Amino acid sequence: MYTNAGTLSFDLAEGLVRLGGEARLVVPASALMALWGGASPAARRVFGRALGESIGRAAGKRLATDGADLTQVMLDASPEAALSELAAAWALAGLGALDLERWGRALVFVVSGSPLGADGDELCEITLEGAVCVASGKSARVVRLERADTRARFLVSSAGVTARMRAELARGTLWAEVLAELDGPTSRGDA
Amino acid sequence: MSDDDQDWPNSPETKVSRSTPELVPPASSRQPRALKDELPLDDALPGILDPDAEPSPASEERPPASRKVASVRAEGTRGDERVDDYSTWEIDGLTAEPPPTRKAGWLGVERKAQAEEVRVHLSPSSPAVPENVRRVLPEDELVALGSPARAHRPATFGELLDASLALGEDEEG
Repeated sequence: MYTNAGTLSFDLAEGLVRLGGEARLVVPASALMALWGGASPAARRVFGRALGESIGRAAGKRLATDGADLTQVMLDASPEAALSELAAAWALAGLGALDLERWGRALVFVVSGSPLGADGDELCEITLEGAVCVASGKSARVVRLERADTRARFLVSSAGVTARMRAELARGTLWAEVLAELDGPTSRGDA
Repeated sequence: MSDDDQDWPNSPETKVSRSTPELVPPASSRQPRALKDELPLDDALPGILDPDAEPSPASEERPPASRKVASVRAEGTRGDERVDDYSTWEIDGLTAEPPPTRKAGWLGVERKAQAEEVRVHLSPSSPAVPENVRRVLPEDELVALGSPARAHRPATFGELLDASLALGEDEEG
C-alpha cells in the first residue's frame, strides 16, 4: 500500500526538501565524491550507513500502514513489493536504479546508472547495507561482486560470507564460483 | 308567340330557343358509342379470360432485389451486394451479357471489372497480402516438473533474505 509518508517534497518558499518528513539536501554528486575521497574509512562507513538507514526507513514508511511494524511489514511483503519500495527510496536519493537478482539462494542487488560511478561503489555498498538492515531489522552485510559498465552487483549475506567473498575476489576467483560453493549441494542449480 | 319561338329562315325543321344555345351538345358527342366500349372485357372475350383464375407466381414480374424500381434507384446503387449478379458469371470463359432492360454501359463493364479486382486480392502469389498460418495448441503437456521442491520460491522478502543470510551454513555445519 502506498502512502505519502515517503514522498519527496520541495518547499520552494521555505527552501527545504523533505522525504517522509526528514530534511534532505540536494548536493552535486561531484561534491559528495570529493568529500568521500577525503574521508577516513570510519567516516565513510558512518556516512554510508546513515544514508542507507534513511533510505530503509523511507521504504518501510511507504510500505507500512499506520501503526504497523515497519520491519515486519517489509519482511512479510512479497519480494516484488519490497524491491519496489526500496528502489523508489533509492531513486529518490538519486543513486540510480535498483534491481534484485537471485543466484541460487543468494540475494544480489543490482545498481544501474549511479551518478557516482565506479568510485561510488563503496558508498553504494555501505548504503545498501544500512538500508537492508533498517528495513528488515536483520544484521546483514553487503559486498560488491562486480561492475560492468554502468551496472554493479552487490551480494547481501552474513558477515562471514561477505568476508570470504572479499578474500576470494582478491585472489581472482570468480564470484559465481564462490556463490556456487556457498550455495551448497542441497539447492545447487535452484534458480 | 314569343320571340323565342319564332321560326328561323332556312331551317324550317329546326326550332330552337335562343335563350339556351349552350345546352346543345356538339355533333361529335351525339354519335352513338361502339358496343365494344360499353361491354366489360370479360364479357367481350367470353371463354378466353377466366375471371376466377389466379395468376401464377411465375407469371408475375418479380420485384428487384433493392425493392425499388429502376426509376427511383439512387445513382450508383447496384442493388443488394449479397445477391450475385448473373451478368458477372463466367461459364466456359464467356461472361453473360447484361439483360436488355438495363442501361447500356452500366453493369456490363463495371461489374466485370469488379470481379477481376476480387480475383487479384485472392491471388496467393500477391506479395502485398501475407498468408497467415494459424497454430493450434498441442494436446499433450509441454512442461513437466522434475521435482516439486525446485519449483518452490520464497513467498516473502523475509524468507528470501534469510536464505541469503544462511549461505555457507551447510559447510560450517
